[in-house]
Amino acid sequence: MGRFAAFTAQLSSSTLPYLFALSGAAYLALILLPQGGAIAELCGTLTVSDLGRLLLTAPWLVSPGQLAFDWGVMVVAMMTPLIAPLLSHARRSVTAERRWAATIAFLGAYWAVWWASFLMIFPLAIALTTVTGDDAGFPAALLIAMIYSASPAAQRARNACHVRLRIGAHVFQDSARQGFFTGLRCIAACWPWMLVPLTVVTGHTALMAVIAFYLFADRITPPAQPGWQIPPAFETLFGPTAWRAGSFGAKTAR
Amino acid sequence: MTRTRTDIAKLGGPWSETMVWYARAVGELRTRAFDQPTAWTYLAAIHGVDFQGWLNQNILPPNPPIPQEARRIFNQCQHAGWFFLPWHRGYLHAFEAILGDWIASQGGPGDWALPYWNYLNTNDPNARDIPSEFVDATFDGGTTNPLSQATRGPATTLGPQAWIPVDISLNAQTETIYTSDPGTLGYGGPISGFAQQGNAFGGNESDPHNLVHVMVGGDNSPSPQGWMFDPNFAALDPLFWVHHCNIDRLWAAWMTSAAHSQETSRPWRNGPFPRQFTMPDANGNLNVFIPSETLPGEALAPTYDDLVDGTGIPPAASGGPAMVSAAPPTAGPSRLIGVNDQSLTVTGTQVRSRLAMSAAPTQTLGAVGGQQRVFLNVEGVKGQSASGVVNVTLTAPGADPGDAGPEATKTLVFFGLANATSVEGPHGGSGLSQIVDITEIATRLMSDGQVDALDAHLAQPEGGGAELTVDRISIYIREEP
Repeated sequence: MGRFAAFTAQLSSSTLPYLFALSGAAYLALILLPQGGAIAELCGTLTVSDLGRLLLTAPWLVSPGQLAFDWGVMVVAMMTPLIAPLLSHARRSVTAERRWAATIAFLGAYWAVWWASFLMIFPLAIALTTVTGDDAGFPAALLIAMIYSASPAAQRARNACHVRLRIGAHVFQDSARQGFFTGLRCIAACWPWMLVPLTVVTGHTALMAVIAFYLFADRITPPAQPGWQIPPAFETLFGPTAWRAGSFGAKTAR
Repeated sequence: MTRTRTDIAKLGGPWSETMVWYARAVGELRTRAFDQPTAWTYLAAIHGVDFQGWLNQNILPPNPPIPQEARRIFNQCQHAGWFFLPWHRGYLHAFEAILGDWIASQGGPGDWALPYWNYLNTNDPNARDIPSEFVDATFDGGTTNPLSQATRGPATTLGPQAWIPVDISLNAQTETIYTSDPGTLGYGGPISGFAQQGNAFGGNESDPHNLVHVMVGGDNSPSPQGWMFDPNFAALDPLFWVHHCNIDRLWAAWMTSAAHSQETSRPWRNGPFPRQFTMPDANGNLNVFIPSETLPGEALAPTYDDLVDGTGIPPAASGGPAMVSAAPPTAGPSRLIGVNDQSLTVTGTQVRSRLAMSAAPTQTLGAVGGQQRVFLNVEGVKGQSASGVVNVTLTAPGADPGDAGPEATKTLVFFGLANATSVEGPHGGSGLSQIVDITEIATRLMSDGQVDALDAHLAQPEGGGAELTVDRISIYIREEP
């Protein structure tokens, strides 16, 4: 039976269908909006020297406002499906009348943190492409992301992504706090993967979708003991035989 | 061949043929190396393993062989969620098949079945005593008894003790719905994913399951607690299996009532994803199973000699249980009506927290098992002890809890607390939640109509263990459909 049946059953539960709809709308915006694509135009040409040349020849492509908008849409498209359990936690912890407030606060804070990560991830992408050159940027970013995903640090970050915080009487603040910390932990788990689509010249949006799918497969794995391992997304995608390798170390004694 | 599970007390013991073969089989499995799927330690680790703790207690030899599938197969037990009952049913099935295979190979009965400890059978005055086969030092003409080779607490019978002032009961058997809506109590627990320690306990798991674990395993503090006290040690105790066999029987009995609604939605039926439930068979092969296979008439459904004695369920009416699918969690009929204003640290000294009430329950609150009920939620409880016990007393604002009377106090047991607190393990560190019916208390406190606030007074009982923290206290009401 049915890994596929279990998978599709899970997709139909919780807030996931709505989050996928939001994500899909953002992908459509990236593709269809006439102003969209500044990041896509820059991708793969993000060396420091190319950036200087672009500023002289096509400054609209590095407009901070346009970049911020594109990055925001990119974050909504890629990162929204990752938060279903914690968004559900925020929604079920409040009265029915405050459920929308909790949702807006959670999503707003989560997206805001991810949006601000641009200040870290974009310079990192420029630095990487400058060091490796245009052609090697993509494989280098992929290698970094894969090694990081297999590391204990990534598993700790993934575990933290499951932590529920108190949602008390201050619904808006508490939900925003949950969204904020979920966003921070999500960045800690996913950041190298966001470098990858910034290093390709063509197929930027398609690569975004592939990576978002990978990150979803990564996130729906349950928490686990940190250790070097085959990245958990491979178990989701290919089954448990791919997951057998990995450390099984000592846990804290009672 | 049908394996029929029988009450230990009805086997004609002590040391009936079934129990003798159980002891022999346990002794045999204990000789097998940790990396063998039919080894005692391997089977116990499927439930949960504290690897360093096992080494410290010499349960494992130094540098034991680690099976390559350890990350997939160990630490699977499902607690505090709606997979608790089906996962443990599959676990018992695998265990019974492995033991039965060896027993048959040794000339024992080919239909050997795991017996159960029917501790809530009011027809048996000794039902609550730990069966003598698990206490005797020797059996079989002087052989060391493997069934008593376990670390346990001092209790030899189940019931309230100073450090756990609450009794086991069949209250859960009156729950009519398997899957609880947020903040309310159901028979089988709230919707959950793959969770060794999930969010909130269902009725069966809370009482009697958790209470029996903690009563048998505690209280040896400050020395190491008994194995049953900790999910990462519990299945090492042969008593674990006959306890869980009874828990499983209670579910089987519950499902015979046409008044009860068993969960059958697709997410429950198909189980979690991507990590799925996996068990070894007698040949050491690993097989995935899903919860739907544990339902009546399916491959993993067990057969019991009796589903009436000690189950609280009358003889089966025709028709069996209603099979229903849960409502989405956000659309349930439960409603939050009160929440406290702070996180708390709970020790042996009582601490108070005020709950602001946004609405009072209606005047037509029902009795336990009815459709209109009030539930206290103690949420996000964390602590370093393997399990924890907390007394909660509800009063009007400013009232002295000492004047409230014993009926105003609920004792909550958090089995697997340290697991649920650890951010380094398969839980994620969000702690545990306990939901308890307070309809009668709420009816009394709110009898004069709308109240703006209630006070919750929390303390660990006499001889309380390590400090606990509580994220939130809330009150939910389940409305009439």
